[in-house]
Amino acid sequence: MVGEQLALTALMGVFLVAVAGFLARMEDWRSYTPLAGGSAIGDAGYGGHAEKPAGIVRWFTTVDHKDIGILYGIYALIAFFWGGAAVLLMRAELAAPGFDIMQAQFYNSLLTSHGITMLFLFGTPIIAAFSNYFIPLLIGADDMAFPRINAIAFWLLPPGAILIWAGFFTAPLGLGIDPAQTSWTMYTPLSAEQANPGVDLMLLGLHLTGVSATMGAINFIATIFTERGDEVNWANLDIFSWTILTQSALILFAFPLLGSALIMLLLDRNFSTAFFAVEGGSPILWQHLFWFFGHPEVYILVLPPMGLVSWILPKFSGRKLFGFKFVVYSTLAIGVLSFGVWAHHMFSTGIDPRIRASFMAVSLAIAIPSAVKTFNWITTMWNGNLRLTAPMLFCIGFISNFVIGGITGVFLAAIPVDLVLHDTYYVVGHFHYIVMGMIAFAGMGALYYWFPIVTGRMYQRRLAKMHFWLSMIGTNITFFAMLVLGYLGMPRRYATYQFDGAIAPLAQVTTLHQIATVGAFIIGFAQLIWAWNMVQSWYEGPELDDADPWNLKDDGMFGREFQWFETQKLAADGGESEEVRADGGEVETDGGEATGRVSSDPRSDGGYRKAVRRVDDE
Amino acid sequence: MDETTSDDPSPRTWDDEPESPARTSAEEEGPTRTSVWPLVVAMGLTVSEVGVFMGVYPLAVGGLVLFVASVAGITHEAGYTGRPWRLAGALGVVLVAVGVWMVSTQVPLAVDPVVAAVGGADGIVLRGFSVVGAGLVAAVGAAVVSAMGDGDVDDGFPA
Ligand code: HEM
Ligand SMILES: [Cu+2]
Repeated sequence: MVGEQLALTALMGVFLVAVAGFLARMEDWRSYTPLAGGSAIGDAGYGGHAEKPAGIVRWFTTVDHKDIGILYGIYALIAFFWGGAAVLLMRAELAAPGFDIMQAQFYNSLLTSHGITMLFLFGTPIIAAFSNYFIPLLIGADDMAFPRINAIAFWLLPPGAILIWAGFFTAPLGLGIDPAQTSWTMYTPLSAEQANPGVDLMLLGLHLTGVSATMGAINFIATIFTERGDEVNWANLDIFSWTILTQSALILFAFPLLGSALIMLLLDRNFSTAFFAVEGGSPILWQHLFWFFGHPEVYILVLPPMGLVSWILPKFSGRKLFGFKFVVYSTLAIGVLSFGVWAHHMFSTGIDPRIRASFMAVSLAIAIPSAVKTFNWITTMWNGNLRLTAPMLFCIGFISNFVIGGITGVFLAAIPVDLVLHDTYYVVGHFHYIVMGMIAFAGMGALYYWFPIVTGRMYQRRLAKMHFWLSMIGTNITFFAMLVLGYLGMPRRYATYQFDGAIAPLAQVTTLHQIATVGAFIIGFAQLIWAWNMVQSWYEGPELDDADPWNLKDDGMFGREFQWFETQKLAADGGESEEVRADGGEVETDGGEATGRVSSDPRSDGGYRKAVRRVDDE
Repeated sequence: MDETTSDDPSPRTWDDEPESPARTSAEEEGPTRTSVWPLVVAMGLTVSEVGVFMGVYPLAVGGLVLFVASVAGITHEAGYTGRPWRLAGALGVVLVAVGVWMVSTQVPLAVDPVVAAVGGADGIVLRGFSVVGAGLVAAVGAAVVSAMGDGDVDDGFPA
């Protein structure tokens, strides 16, 4: 046995040295796969720019921030569909009180996979998709500070996802590796005692995604500090970059901690350490470590979407963002405060009441900067010239959902209320108003807003509006029903609810569950419309005739990313007649990049001042 | 325009001129838009993590060797080192040290106890040995390749 292993080992090692030598020869990839037809336009002096290998090789070897942004986006959307499919199965099971279509183990597996997938494989990457593609454009940088690290960070994600989902693939093979049933919080002792190796694989996968997020964060901090164009300073840095900067700082403090806690858990599981054992460091230690990461994580997920809305909302309000400075300050305040609230997830664990009270105070305080943002968005729209395009609708839906999601959070932050509502569907309703109602909505809004830049085409507006309205209605049906279920005492994380009618009114609970299920399928249907729209429009949508599909110039709102897009288009139209694929396709221009990316008089909202200023502009 | 064009006649001699002008112009004029290494680095890290943790020794060794080699490759490509094989060798030595440390956490570093532990299939000791093995493969491999490639202009990779 050992001898066999050693032989295999030696063989594998020798083989790999050969691979490494081969790779070293391949190092000059550009010379290895020259572009067919040499269709590079622009000045040849700008080396390396226009040369990308063709076909699939390009996507495996790219270090271009725009390509990597697209990869992140595609990855996140695949994860979104995986997580969505899992939850639709769960909602179907919950349409009736008993075990109808699955057993508890499978339900628990789906629950775990849904939560982890949506937070780590959809939420974080979809934000990274936008930040990779657009932050360099918004700050006038050529690329990220460390393009290769950027690519490594992305390529850690697919193996991470495979490991996290591994149990689902291996369970049918009968290897004894099943999907994890720990829920996304992985509370000990449950997670330490499940003997299933699928849990180890999931933890390792999570660890990889954490490494990836940390590498990305370091890269964004370095990029925003050091790669800004000459005309971009701290005073006129755009709001999206501010939120990404804050998010990256949060990641830098939170994710390494998650990584360490995961390793401790792996050691407890496999090497009989006792970090989280009852007779050792105690299960409560896990909760402290997890939530010290976990609460900042929710702001890691929500701050950039807030930045996206702060960026897009003014464009369709015809006014610049109201109180820009205060939006930035509130972002920073939330960033700092978010590290002082973690124990509000642990009010009912029996921790010291004095500690509890202080966490309650900070949690309530975090509502203040959140409200500052909400009022600034509302005031931005006030008396504005609103244009209800799909991106704008998603922004408005975002604000409306934040009001409900945020206020329910404030209720939960009050200890006496939380002791009643903890571990009920009320909590599920609260955070889904935020994760679905805000994060997913802002992501969709930004996808529509920037679709023209990425594809050079326009989507089908009618379908986009249907997508919005169905999502908005579905979200509010589903998650409002969950809030009510919570008030009725329905506990979360159960596959069935066949309880005694004396505990809770079973008939109403059943009805509310059915309402939630219907809402969930409405959301699911809406996303199918969206998927069709994206694919169809990417290939067949009408091509743009100018670089201003949103008529932003009329309001002096033509942001830096669209200015960059315009230089790309002009270079293509003016120079050779070749089509410029703005997704960074094989044909790319360099000529215009150095000039005109940043306007001569940039403002913090990225627009440029027009000769005639609007009266309500200030 | 770019020293990496395939028909470029000039040999790449990092040893003599780490700061050769051809190289700097390519590196500074515009961001590089492609690299094979990031994917390999990510695979190396994944395979070694799974291999070492789950105790699948061939994966552990293979993954670590791949990781070391790709780190050397990417560092070289980014211009941080002129001699990637030397870096790979150094990382190999580090791995040997880490592996020995892992073994030493379980048994005293003497022949009999170590043999007994291996015979008893002690998980941590075997993992330690897989790390040592990976380090040795990396270090020896690096030395061999480096010796082979020395001074050969057609050879394409710097030693
Ligand atoms: C106004 C700000 C907020 C406050 C005061 C707040 C408060 C709380 C409290 C007290 C809980 C614990 C409930 C319990 O388990 O008993 C909770 C749960 C949760 N919150 Fe919030 N929240 C806020 C905003 C957010 C945001 C912005 C997000 C997401 C981006 C979020 C995501 C979550 C999640 C995911 C949980 C559930 C964690 C679990 O699985 O147990 N919250 N929130
Ligand atoms: Cu929290």
